[in-house]
Amino acid sequence: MLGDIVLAVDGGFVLKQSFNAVSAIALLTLVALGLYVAFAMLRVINIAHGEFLMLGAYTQWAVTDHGFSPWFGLPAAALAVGTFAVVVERTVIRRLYLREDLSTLLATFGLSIILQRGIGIWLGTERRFVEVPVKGNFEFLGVSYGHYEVVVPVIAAGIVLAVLLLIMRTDFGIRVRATIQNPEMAAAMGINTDLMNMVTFALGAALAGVAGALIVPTVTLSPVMGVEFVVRAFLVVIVAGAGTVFAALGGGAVVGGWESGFTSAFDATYAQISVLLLVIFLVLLRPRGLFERFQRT
Amino acid sequence: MQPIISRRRFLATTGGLAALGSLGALGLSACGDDEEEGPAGTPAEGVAPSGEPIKIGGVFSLTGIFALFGELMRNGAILGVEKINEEGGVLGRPLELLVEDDGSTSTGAAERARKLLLDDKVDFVMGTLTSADSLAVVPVATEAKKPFFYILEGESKTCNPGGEGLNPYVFGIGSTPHQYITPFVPVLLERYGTDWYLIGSDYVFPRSVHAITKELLAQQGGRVVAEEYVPLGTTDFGPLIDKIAAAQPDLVFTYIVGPDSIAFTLRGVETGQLADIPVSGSAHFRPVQWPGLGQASIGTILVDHYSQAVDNPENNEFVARFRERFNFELPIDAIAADTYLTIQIIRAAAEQAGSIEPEAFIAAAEGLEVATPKGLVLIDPENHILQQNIYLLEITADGYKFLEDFGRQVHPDQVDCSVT
Repeated sequence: MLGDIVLAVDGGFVLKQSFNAVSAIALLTLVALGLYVAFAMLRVINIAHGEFLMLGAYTQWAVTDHGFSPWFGLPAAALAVGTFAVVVERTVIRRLYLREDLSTLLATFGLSIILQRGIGIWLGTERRFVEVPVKGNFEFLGVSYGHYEVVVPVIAAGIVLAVLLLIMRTDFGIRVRATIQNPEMAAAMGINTDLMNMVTFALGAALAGVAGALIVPTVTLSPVMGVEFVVRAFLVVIVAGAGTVFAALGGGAVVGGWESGFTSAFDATYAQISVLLLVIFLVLLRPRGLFERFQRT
Repeated sequence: MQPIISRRRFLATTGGLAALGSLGALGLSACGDDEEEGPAGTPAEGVAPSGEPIKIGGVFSLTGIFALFGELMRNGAILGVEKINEEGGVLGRPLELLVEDDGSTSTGAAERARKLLLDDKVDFVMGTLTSADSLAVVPVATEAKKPFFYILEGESKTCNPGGEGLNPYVFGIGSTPHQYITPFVPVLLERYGTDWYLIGSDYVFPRSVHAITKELLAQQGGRVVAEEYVPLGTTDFGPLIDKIAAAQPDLVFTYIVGPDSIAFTLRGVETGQLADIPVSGSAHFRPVQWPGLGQASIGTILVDHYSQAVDNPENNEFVARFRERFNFELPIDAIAADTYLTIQIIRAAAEQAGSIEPEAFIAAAEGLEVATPKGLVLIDPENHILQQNIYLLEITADGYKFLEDFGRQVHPDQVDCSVT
């Protein structure tokens, strides 16, 4: 049954809902970027991507548990997860490059299970919590905003922006784009595609790790916390199609924005159902992804 | 595109990895299960039980999102079996607990129950967490004609498919929404007011709870401002909380379960949106979630059919032993007590019947009264749902405070049975 339709007559309320949508988009894009790059560049469907988020969250817990600042936990999570991803890339992922069959799904699925169970066994099932780094809230146009509630999307958006700048404006970025568009030509031009693959995969994982570290004060830490995010991230990748990294942002906006908006207006369950219907519809419309045509030749 | 490795090498390597992986998984799962499993020790005094063990199968969520619940349930069962064995077992025979992990899924629950009943030939099955899990196991136990005790509170599952009559093999240990909502609603109406915002996780249990809530509110002059459900696994409660804040109800009555409830409460505190709006419920604020949301919910009132604060000899013994046996400092959740007392009930009914043969056992169980940590309970002969006391509690900085005993509540007939 549809919930009440909220009559958005109150400006402050509308602003908060819009803010919620932007916040959801920023976080989702941050998580999806890494998955997207792995897919666009390496044609690897990394089902274990949600576990990178989970490992980042646990790193943040470990950092704060030992008395360090949660702000320090953010780069720590990026570093820890990025390093771990290098190991994963060298041992598992690189053997799956450019295979467009189900073997990548199987391998990464297995990795996902191993990581979930492994963390569960190693650290046990106790509930663990990380304190919110900035407590308190403020009011704007009659609606209350938590301080941390604002900090998260600002940081997430900032990181996404930084990554986009990196890709679009730097030497390194040119090499990444070249490797995505045409790996053989890139290799012929002297780019070390092997290194590119490793570095970008690790970078994508690090982004998910930071996302995990960011959200952990507001959710329960658990070995399976990444699952919910990886599903959404996949929807982003499907909607976006293999193109430039802006495609990932576009995909995030579509998926994140729709779900958040629908939840605000109606009901979370129908939001989830409708997002899937939306994705099916978009895939039927443009099977190679919404933003594929923006790929530069 | 040339494949990077040859097909033969790929198959060989994957095969090898898969074999290694499954060995590893077997090893890891064996490790996990052996840790604290199985009742310890021999009876200190009295006659040691002897002979063929009576096997009790436990289906618990030891991995996955409900792992914390499953662990508590298992530990309660282990303690129960140990205590009964210390006291001479059942009909002179020792009890043996076989634990299976359903991975927090209902398909897993059905599978594990099948294994316990058909392969391990257990005499009783107990466990399951969510209503979905219990509903999955009911047909399996019924077909195997063995008694099944579902633990968690929730709507009745003891009827036959279609809702007519009693399925004799199923017993409900936890309380039903009828039992605990009925005395609770008037208290909340009086304390907070009439305009309620109902929320819950989106599956059968919260929906059936709120169906009853709405009925009672209609009878007692309450008003439902809105009713909204969120999918299990929701982490972003921003939109929902904003909607609640915009509606300014007298009370938010919540049946969000599991880790989601913590995310909701913490988000509410963080944004300050719910600072002036009272929140109440029961499952949302249960002891399993207390470590996460307790400090943020001091003063919240709730109902439960058990609390460690309940003062009776059975509970005093249970709490002391549980804390020592499992080195457990936190507030003890009803589910641990419920698995423990299920073992007590099995003994009581078996001794009454003089046998564990299902028909005799079931006949003896009906109408039987047993002294348990949650009080004196009675197995209802009409619907096999424990008649049990409901307690009003308040969250404190250290745990839960006992406020009031609503007395023994009876679940009416097969009202709201969810077996289809």
